[in-house]
Parts: sequence; structure tokens; C-alpha cells
Amino acid sequence: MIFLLSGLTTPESVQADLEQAPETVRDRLQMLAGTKEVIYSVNSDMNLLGTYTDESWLFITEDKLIVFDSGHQDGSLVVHLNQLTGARIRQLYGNSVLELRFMEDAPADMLLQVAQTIDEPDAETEASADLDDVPLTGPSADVFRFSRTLDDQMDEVLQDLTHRLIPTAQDKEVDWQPEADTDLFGSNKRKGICRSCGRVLPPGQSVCPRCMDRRRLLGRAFQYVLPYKWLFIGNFLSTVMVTMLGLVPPLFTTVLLDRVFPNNDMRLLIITLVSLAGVYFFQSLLNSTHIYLQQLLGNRVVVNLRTDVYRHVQRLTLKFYDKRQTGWIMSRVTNDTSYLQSFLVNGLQDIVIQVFTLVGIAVIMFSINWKLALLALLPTPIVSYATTKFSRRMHKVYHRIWRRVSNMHAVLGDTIPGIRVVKAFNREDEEVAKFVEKNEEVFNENIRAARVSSVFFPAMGFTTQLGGLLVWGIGGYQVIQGIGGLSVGVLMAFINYTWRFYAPIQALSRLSEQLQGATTAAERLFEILDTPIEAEDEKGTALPEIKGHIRFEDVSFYYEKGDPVLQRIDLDIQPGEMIGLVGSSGSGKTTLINLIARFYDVSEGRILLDGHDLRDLDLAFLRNHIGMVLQEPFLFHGTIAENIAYGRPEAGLDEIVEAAMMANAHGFIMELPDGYDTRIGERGVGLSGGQKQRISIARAILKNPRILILDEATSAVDTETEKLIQQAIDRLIQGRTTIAIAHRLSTLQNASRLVVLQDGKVAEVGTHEELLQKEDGVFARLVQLQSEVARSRLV
Amino acid sequence: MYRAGQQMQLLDPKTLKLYKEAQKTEGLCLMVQGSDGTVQGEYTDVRVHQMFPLTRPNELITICDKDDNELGVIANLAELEGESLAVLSEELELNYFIPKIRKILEIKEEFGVIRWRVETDKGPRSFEVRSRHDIRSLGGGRFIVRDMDGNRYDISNMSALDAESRSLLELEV
Ligand SMILES: Nc1ncnc2c1ncn2[C@@H]1O[C@H](COP(=O)(O)OP(=O)(O)OP(=O)(O)O)[C@@H](O)[C@H]1O
Ligand SMILES: [Mg+2]
Repeated sequence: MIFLLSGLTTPESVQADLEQAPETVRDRLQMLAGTKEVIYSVNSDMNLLGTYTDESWLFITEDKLIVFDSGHQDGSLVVHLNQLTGARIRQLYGNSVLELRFMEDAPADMLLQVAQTIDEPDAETEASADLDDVPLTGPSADVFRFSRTLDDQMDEVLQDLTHRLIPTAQDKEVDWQPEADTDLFGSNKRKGICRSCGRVLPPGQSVCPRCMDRRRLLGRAFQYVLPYKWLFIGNFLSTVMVTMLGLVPPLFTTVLLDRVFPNNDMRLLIITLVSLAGVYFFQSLLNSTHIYLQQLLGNRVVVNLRTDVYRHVQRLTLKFYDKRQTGWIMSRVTNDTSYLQSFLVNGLQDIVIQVFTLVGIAVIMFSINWKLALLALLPTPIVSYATTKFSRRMHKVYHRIWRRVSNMHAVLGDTIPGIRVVKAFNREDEEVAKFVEKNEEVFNENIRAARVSSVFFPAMGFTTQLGGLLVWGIGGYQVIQGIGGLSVGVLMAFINYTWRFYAPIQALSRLSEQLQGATTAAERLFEILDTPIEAEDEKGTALPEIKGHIRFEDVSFYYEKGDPVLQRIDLDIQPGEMIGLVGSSGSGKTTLINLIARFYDVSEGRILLDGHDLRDLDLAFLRNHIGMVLQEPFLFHGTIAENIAYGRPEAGLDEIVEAAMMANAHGFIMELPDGYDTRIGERGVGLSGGQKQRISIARAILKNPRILILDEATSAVDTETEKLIQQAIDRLIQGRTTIAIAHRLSTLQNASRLVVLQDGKVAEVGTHEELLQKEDGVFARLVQLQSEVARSRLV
Repeated sequence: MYRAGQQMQLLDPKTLKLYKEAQKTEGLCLMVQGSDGTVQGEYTDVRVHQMFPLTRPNELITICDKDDNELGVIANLAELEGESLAVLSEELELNYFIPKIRKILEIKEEFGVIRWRVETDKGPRSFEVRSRHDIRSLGGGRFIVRDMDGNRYDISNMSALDAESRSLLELEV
């Protein structure tokens, strides 16, 4: 819980939030804070000893920092802000601590008190960015500890706190203005909270699914059926009729047994049989209509649903993909859609059929003989209760089976694509053993399920059979004694209906589980459909033309909060310039170019293209003008020509060939028997690494982009070929802004400027010569190393 | 930080003394003594890291100086004694916070979020898990659960849990 008083939040809302703190906490706070207003209040989820608790609090008032924590002497710590020279958050694994640094001459009792804290301060010579000018020599202490759940809140508090400390520490007035406060409650929050019920929202979702109740969820799913409402209605009617007709035949049994046979009435026999044949005929006719309509409807719905989901999935951000496994997304598109479809189309109709059957049978039975009907239906409560229980149980069992099966799939998904590695390291037997283990688990779970069902179904069968015997017994007695005018025919019909009665009872008892399954599937699907897609809300502008002027302004970026990959990058790339990006592995080169193509959005700062923030530009427009050769070339199933023309399918054949020639791919393509029509297998199998790279270069060339990005585009080709590609690229970069990443520095000879990245920061910028001049420059050292390596190879 | 080409240098635990200053200005301190008891090196503000924090938390602990140069490796925590052992254990505990789940009270999937209610060695806790992929199996019945905020929890051995916890967990893994 956090609130900000200054400026934005009204005092009333603070008051309201403080209400949530226990009275004792508020009283203690009142005593320590006096009349000063509380600006921040944070309730940690653990204390300094690392034990979960909700009794640790941090308060900041205008002049004090107050902590309640059982790790402090007397359970509290009060620090006057003017005794502090600095504050920072040390992020550790799974938890963080707020570390305060005191003035050298802080009062002894304060230090004593602080020394009682159990945790070890970890004084740090390098200050956080905000504290660069603050002397960091005084004693320090960890005063507040919290899990990652509170990271966002505490970041905010720290930002505010440092702003408050700097003026004091430097003994000068800084006119401190609260930062753009809307940003403080920024969009970087890891999890959202539902406004109406306060629950944590599913990732990436803005509507709380709970507040969107089940009926609405299924209602929304039902939207997919609506366009086919006539089909649905037709199907529905045929279903009802099939069901009704199904109830008729036993009535004919009565006629046969009671009127035909006792009277040896041949004519009636024929009439009955002919009518019966008629009923069966219509039933079959309707049934076949029903089956066809149901399939038509079901498949229409699932196709639409799947397309919608897939279309959405294509537009989801890479961030979404980073977090999920491919298999998970694929399973949403294939399994959940089918599941939902089967519920929407078959499930709903089933319910209707069952209800109709039940009501129909009950009406018929009670109208024939209500006493006997009561008797026959005696086991109903037992059966429905037992079935409900059973299906709950089975739901879990099936769920477990499903989990085991997907574990087994995971093994397959892991090893089959990696089969070369498996073979290279001779691990076939171990992989088989791993699979056998998972496979055995599936077996065990299935057997467990079988054990439960093997008891349940026979037991239920026995119960209903007993019910049937009861009817036989009592009905038979009545027939023999001639009580109540019960005839053999009526009894037979009765027995027949009794058997039929229990199937719908069992089906309906399973209903709630089915409903649950369908809502879960619907939830998962709508979770995807509700996940915001890239640049959804903004209809960005498309510029009439692009010059290719790229400007990074104070850009920082992280994939995972707290772990910055790029830090405060400032870079100005002129139109038509070729920038060579160098730096050691993991320094953030690929990340930097990902930002230009807006695969990810910057975390801080901005990137301008011709003076426009990338986020204001139309995404399709932007990417249309960027040609990329990715570090890991990916080719799709299809012919070489198709792969080259991927970005411009309308390109003429001559253009495709020209692009291939420029990329120096034409030669090897022509050596393949099918030339440009050669089909490429899975993940480009059949081509060498360098060949794949050249095809992806051709792909980028054909697009004729204003901005060309080459990420290790020639890392897998020999020096000879590289030289040829190099010439091609030299021709290509004329008039284009180019950013090329290469480990082989010779590749970047023609770059107008080189940018050296180191640990996510720009270490050096300059021309080849300028950087070489630098005595102990990073680049100069790299060049020296590479030439040494080259020499030693020659020797 | 590891320097390229550097080899693993095991430190003799008998020559090491880890301590903290009363004033706490220097952080964790390390003194290296020769066999004759002479001081061979003193470092303030050293950092320690487990190499295998999950599978072998007490073995192979690196010690770096304040500029992150690796000073050496302690083969096993148990080789240390007295204050050294105490301050190092405490530092590691702070460094690497991953509570052990002792009992699972509830796992409930609701609307795309899986809610867990558990008892840990650090006390009771509830948290939300994004999906089942955030439950990582380390084999041998061990699982690491990651919640939506990035906190992690350790289930050391599934079969050591009580039956109820186990049956709840079985549905998830
Ligand atoms: N999708 C991702 N999610 C989280 N972290 C990532 C992701 N991609 C890269 N990183 C991390 O970001 C850092 C920079 O990675 P990047 O791919 O930009 O390096 P690079 O300079 O291109 O390296 P190389 O020369 O090896 O290709 C690395 O520490 C990497 O672990
Ligand atoms: Mg890279």
C-alpha cells in the first residue's frame, strides 16, 4: 500500500489509506511523526530477519523516516532526514533492502540503534546515479527489507527520498519539484489490480475476469455462434425432434404386448410395425440432418475462433513471446478452441437433449402409473449425488493425466529439434530413459483413473439395475395380482423408460464440470484475445518519406525490471551513414537494433526517426522501411524464391535474382538442381549456415529499405565470400542508413563511424582511425587482439 | 567478476577470517592469514556468491573484492568456523532469499491466475503464479515456483510434503 501526498493526492485519500493500517500502527506513528504529514507509507511483506509478516512499515514524513520492524531495537527506527547523506536499494536475489547512509558525525545513539539491525550493510563505493555528488563515507545500515512484490513501490519511494536528501546533504536549496507524477504510478507495474474487486489481474489483462462473470464469458464465446443462428436453430430443432421421436417406440411395445399378442391381432401387428418403421425412418432422417448441421456449425465456429486467435497471436508483442513457451501458445490456438467449440455446439445441445429426455420420460411414466414411477425413480438422488462426486474426482484425475501427457510432450518438443546435439553427445539412451520415465507417469495416472472408473461405473450400473429389479418385482406382483390394472405391456414400457432415465441424470450431473472446463478454455482464449497487441491504441502517423535520421535520446532498456541491458544511450545517426556496432558478446548490440525496429519499446528516453518518436509512427510503416538480417537466420518452409521474396511477395522474378546476386547467393542457388524452386526443409535444413545467411541478406536487399540493419550478417561465411558480400553491401548502403554489427572488425572497414558498446553503455564513438588513435581505447584493444589472433593462425 | 583465462582458485579455509566491523562502515571484511598467522591481505566490502545456489547452496562460494575481482573460492561452507561461518551464512541468507515451502494450503486457478497459499520456513505466504510454466522441475521431486512479482519459492522434495499438499501440487506439475 502506498500513497503520495505531495501535490497530487488529496489528503482525504491518504487518510482513507491510513485507515487500513492497524490502529496500533497508527498510534505509534502519530507519536513519532508528530504533526508532520506522512508522505509515503509502505507496508512490507517481511521483516529484517527475513520472516514474512505484515508488521513492518516504512513511513516518510517531511522531516523523518520512520521504520517499524521487529529487527530494530524497540521495534522501531526514527531517522531525521537531515542526518542522512544517501539512500539506495540493494537488489538481492528474491529480496531487497533499503540502505541508508548517515553523516559522519551522526549522533552516537543513532548509530548505536542502527548497529542493532541484524543485517549487514554493504557499503558501496560506487553511488547510484542520483547520488553521484554525495559523499559516501559515513556509516550505513539496512533499515527495511522487502520482497520483489514491493519493488515498484520502493523504487518510487527511493526516488522521492533521494530528491529530499540531496539538498540537505549538499547544504544548498534545490527547488525540488515532484517528478511527473503520473509516471510514478507508471506503466511498468508488473501486475495490475482490478479496480472493482482489488484482485490481481492476469498478466497483460485490463479486465478482471472475475468481475466479468461466467455467463458473460460464455455469452461472449457464444458471439461466435451468432452469425450462424439459423444453422444453430435448425440444428436445435432437429435435435429436439430426434429426442422426442426416441421416446415413442416403448409406447408401441405396450400396444404389441397388451393388444396384439393377447388378441392375436395380425392387422394391428402390421399397423404397429409399419408405424414403428415410420418413426424409425423419420428419426434417422432427422438424425442425419442433425449430425450434418452440427458438424457444419461446429467447424465453422472453430475455424473462426481459431483464425481470430491466430490473427491476434501474430500481433502480440515479443515481450509476450519471451514469457511463454511456443507450445503453450500453440495449444491455445489448437486445443482450447476445439474445446470451446465442442462445448458451444455439442455441449449446449446435449444439455437440451438431456433435459427434454428427462422431462419427457418423467411425464410419460407419471401419466402411466405414478406410484410405480416414484418407485422406479427412487435411486435418482443416489445416482445424481454419486455422479456429481465422481465427476469432480475424475475432473482432477483427468487433469493430472493431461499434465502428465504434456510433460511427456515437453520431452519430445525438447529433444526432437535437438536431435543433432543428442547424437553428437551420444545421449540417445539417456533421452529414451527420460522419455520412459514420463511415459510411465502417464501410465500410472491412467491406471489411477481406471481404478476409479472401474469401481464407479459398475457400482452405478448395479444401483440402477437394482432400481429396475424393484420395478420388475413390484410391477410383476401387480400384474400377477391384477392390481391397478397394470398390464405386461405397460410394465415393459416402464422398465424401458427406467433404463433410459439414468443416462441423462448422469450426464447432467457431469454438467458443472463440463461448464468449468469450457469456461477455463474460454478464459484462456480471451486472455490472449484481450492481451494488447503491438501499437494497438495508437494509430501512428506514416511519413511521406523517410530520410533515415535516427536519434537515441537518453535511452535505457531492460527486459526484466532491475536488470538494465542498455543504459542512457545517446546516439545520433545521420541519414545515409553506416554505423558499425561493436562490443563484446552480451553487451547489448542486438538489443539496441531490436529497439529501432520496435520489437521492444524503450524503457526510458526515446528514439527519434527523422525527428518523430518511434512510438508515434505507424508500426507497419516503420517496419516496411527497415530491412533486417537477423543474427539467427530463419527460413520458412517453401522455395528459395519464396523465402527471398518474403518481404515483397509481388517482386518480379528478375528482382529476386538480382537480389540474390547482390547477396552473392546466386552462385550456390544455381548449383541446386531445382534452382530458385528448391524447397527448403525444416528450419532451413539442407543449406549451410553461410548459405542461409546469404538468403536472408537477399531478403533484406529485395525490400529496398531506407534503413538497413545487419546483425552478424556475414559471421558464417568464409573470408572470400565475405569480401564479395562486403562489396555487395557497399553498393547497397549507398544512400541508406545502415547499422551493421560484426565481431570480425574488418567487416566494418567502410563504416563512417563505429560505436563501441560495453555493458550496455556507449563506450566509444568515432571513425576507425579516431578509435585506433586512442591509447587505451576499447576498440584499439579489440583490433590489436584480433590481429594477434590472425597472426597466430598464420604461423 | 571473472577475468578471462582465470582459473578457479580454492582458498584454504584455515587462512580465512570473515568478520564485520562494529561500526558497519566497511561491510563484510575478509582477512587472509599465512600459515604462521601473519596477515597476508585484508579486504573490506567483499561480496560472496553461491555458484549453485539451488542445488549446492553450501558449496563453491566465490569471494570478490569490492571491485568485483574474484579473490577465490571457498569449497564448502562447513569448513569455516566461528564468526566466519556465522557472518557468511547470514550474508548468504540475505543475498539469496528463497523460502522453502513446507505445506501447501491451497492452489486455485481462477481466471488465468493461479493463487497459492502456503506455509514456508519464513512464515505463511500467499502469492500469484502466472502459469504452470512458472513451476520449474529440478528433478528428484524438487520444484521452484516463481510468482508474478519474480519472487521464488523452493519445494525441496515433493514426496516429503504431507498428502494434502502433495495432491494439490500433483495437479500442477
Ligand atoms: N529476450 C530476452 N530476455 C531477457 N534478456 C535478454 C533477452 N535477449 C537478450 N537478453 C540479455 O540482454 C543482454 C544483451 O543481449 P544482446 O543479445 O543484445 O547481446 P549482443 O551484444 O547482441 O551479444 P552477441 O554479440 O553475443 O550477439 C544479454 O545479457 C542477454 O542475456
Ligand atoms: Mg547479438
